[in-house]
Amino acid sequence: MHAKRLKYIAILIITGLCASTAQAVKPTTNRDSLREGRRIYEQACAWCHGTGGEGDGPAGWFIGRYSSPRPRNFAQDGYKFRSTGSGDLPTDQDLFTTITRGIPGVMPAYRALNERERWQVIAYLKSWNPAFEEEKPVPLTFPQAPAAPTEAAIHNGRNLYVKYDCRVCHGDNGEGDGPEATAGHLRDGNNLPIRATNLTDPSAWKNGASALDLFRTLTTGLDGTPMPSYANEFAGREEALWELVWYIQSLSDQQRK
Amino acid sequence: MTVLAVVSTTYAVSVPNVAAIPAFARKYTLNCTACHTAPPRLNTFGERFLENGYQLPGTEDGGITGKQTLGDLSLDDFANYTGVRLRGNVLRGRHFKQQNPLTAEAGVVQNNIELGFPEIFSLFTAGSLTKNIGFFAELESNLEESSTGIERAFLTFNNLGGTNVANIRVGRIDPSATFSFSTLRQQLEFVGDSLNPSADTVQRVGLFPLAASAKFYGLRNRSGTAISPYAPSLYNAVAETGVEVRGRPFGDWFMYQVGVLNGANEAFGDSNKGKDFYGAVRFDYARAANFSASLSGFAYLGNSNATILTGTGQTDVNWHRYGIAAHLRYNMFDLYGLYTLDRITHVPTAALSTFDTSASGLSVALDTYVTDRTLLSLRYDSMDAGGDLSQRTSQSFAGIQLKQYVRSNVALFARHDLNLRRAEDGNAAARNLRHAFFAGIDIAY
Amino acid sequence: MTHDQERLTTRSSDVLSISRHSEGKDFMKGVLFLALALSAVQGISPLHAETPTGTLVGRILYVGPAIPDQVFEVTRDSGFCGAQATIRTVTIHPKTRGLEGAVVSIDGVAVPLSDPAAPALVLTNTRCAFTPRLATGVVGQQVEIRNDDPVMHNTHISMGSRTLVNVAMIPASRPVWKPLKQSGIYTVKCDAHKFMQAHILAFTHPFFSITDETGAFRIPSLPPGEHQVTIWHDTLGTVHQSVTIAATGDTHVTLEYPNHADARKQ
Repeated sequence: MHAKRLKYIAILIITGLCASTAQAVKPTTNRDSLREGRRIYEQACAWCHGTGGEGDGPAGWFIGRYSSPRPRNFAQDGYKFRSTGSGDLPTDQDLFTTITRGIPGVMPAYRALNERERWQVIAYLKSWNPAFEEEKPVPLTFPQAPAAPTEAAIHNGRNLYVKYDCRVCHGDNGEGDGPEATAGHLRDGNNLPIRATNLTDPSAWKNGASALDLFRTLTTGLDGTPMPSYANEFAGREEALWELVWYIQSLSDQQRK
Repeated sequence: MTVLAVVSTTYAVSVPNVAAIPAFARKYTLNCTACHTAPPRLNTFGERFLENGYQLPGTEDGGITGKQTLGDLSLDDFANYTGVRLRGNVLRGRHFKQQNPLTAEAGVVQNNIELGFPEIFSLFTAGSLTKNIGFFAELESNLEESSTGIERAFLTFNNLGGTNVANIRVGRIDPSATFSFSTLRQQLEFVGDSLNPSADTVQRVGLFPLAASAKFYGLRNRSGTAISPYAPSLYNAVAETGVEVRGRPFGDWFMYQVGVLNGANEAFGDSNKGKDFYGAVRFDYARAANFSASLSGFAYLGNSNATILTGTGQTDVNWHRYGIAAHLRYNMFDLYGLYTLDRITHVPTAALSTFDTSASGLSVALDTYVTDRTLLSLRYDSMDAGGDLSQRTSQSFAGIQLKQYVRSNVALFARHDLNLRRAEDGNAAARNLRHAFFAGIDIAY
Repeated sequence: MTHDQERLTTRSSDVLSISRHSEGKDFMKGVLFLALALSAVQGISPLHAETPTGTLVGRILYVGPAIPDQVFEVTRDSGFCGAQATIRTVTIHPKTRGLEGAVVSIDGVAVPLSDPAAPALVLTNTRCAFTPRLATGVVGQQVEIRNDDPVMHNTHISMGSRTLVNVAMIPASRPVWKPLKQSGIYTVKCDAHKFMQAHILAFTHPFFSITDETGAFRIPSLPPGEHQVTIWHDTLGTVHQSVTIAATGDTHVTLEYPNHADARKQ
């Protein structure tokens, strides 16, 4: 009798657990979930992104001050961190990744919001930009990284780094001190001065520091910045792009990761 | 002997200190400017982070760090909870019309230039321990004042009864931390005064937001030590021991705060004479483009929280303060001000002829980035002093400071303070200082 | 951005009031010159024959003071690009005083595009400049980006803060294709060579034309009635004017661009 009751309770608990796991799957967007998304947004996001999503929250100006970055304007800006082609909108999963990881230096990781809450916020912030209704962003496919880099591959990567003028912005040693960067020529989509990323300091890389992250950044480019997409240049030559990735990683201690 | 007497009688209150907590920046991999307009000033996001018990606004993150941990502790975690700040003036220049009496300070100095080094070192450990439980502790060593000790230390319990319904702080707390004018978060740092406690005379003014200072001459704490008119006090104290409850139960626009303290100016422990109470409300608007504003008011009701000397000895008095403050932030501008009115009750009738029982003060400050890395700060301070009529001097100062950020956590500054009232000869410290110049450094790691 | 209101005269007939929206950004940039603009005028699809239509024929004049060309020091690849780059701002035909490279369009006529498969707009990096420097197209039309130079460029097309495409173009790159996503004014830049600039104007209708070297333009197949004409020039800004299109035949109009210097004073 007693054991039976325990069993019953155990089933209840397990069912409950399953139900709560199921909730973590991306919920459908409806009026209730948008309302919930708005509530979360106004408590967590609006301080920088603004109550209207225009990147003009009361704390937003101080992040970059007179320089890049400003908080994203969800109503009209493009997006830097994507798995989609240059100029395309991000997928929902891309937005989820950014919210979960944060952006080093400028945006905290919101892992403390549960998965469901993150999806609700994503649905709410997308509602400001009608382009999300018209364009259906399609993620590019990214291959798995080949096995460990060889010295020759890294050497080839260095040649590509020169050939593709990476050093014009990122500098000969990858320290973000290329001639265009030091001359102050680089501007973001709001015409604010922007720095070239220091490739020797992976902890500050905004789009992630893994080999796949670098591969993705080089493929998609960072919209709203001078960083272009190299997808066209490396189409059908993925192994060359991996060599460039490994060379960039060799500038810091990231090559093993 | 004279020198010894001078040294022993030179009294300076501890320097108020709230720094950027670099540990939080490390923990969340953020730049200082995510939370600060310019450290130690908070922006609107930083204010809500503070109110949420060192958790991201809108969450109960409980100190998620994302770092790999080895068991319960790791070095990564240590750095995410601990920060240091080193700062101070390396050059101090003061121009006096005439220095205080020879017996009070060594030498007759018309223009006093001192070299120094960054003498204030603070160690913080703070953060959220687990969901909705946070802590804060600050240890400070101030070589100039030969003082070392716990400045503030408290626990926070957040989001009791629902999101932002009630947040409790208990320990040595700074009540004005969440007020529109946070006493301790000033770009123009406190420059200590010099007081002769035996004679109750101020030998050198302190440069401090005068609205938040004690403002009374001839006032003593319950152990008989003189309270400097320039000391942060009551609601605007560096820290007092007590407990408070605060929240925004109706949404972001309104905040309440109520607290009870052992008593203002209680060194440590409680003489059990009576508790002090305070309450504050704050109204916020943060929904316009690059703009936020707040208006707040408080009442602090003291209970035998100071004494005055009368012919018959030391008499307890009740010292109250009422204040209103506001802040406006728009793009690069951060404007904030505080007006306070102090009243002392239960002063013996016999003493009323020599003691002014009311005082008021006004402080208005503006910080603005003139370039990406240059912060210009201006402050106006005015005090209509109370207390001992023979000493009481009202005063106004204006300060200007340029702070150049070499890195986001390393700044060099130069500052000039000017006495706006007519300078006079003599011992009235508030009148004989014409102007002062400071240069120094501020490093946080 | 400044929004000036101005009056301006039409040479041919009567005085019309014109509201002027000059974009300060365009003034400040004071960018390009439109020598090769005509190559970008693509086929304009006629409307169905049943409806009576008129044609707007006209000329845009500019009689204001000369606006000096912009000269940039070339800091990169100057061995190939030259030590200086000169960007002509305003090109006036000496006889007609016609303004070359203004875009005339009539918005607000709801007409479905009958030929969405327009040929691609070809945008080539040639001798450290974009060719053409001004192009017009319809939403959905492909832009084909090429690089004929022996140096690397990146072609960065954006509207406001939204990027349309930003691609690296090394020497002998294969072309990149990207469709125009929305109507409006796209700016084309090369982040590696600041002096390289161009514009693409995208429309959701076929009623637009670029003025030729004499300042002339022609927009056929318009429904009769009153329409709002928009004239845009990258240096001189945007002006609007209403015209009444006759039920048949050509409606002639000559428009004088507001005096640039006066506009700035206001």
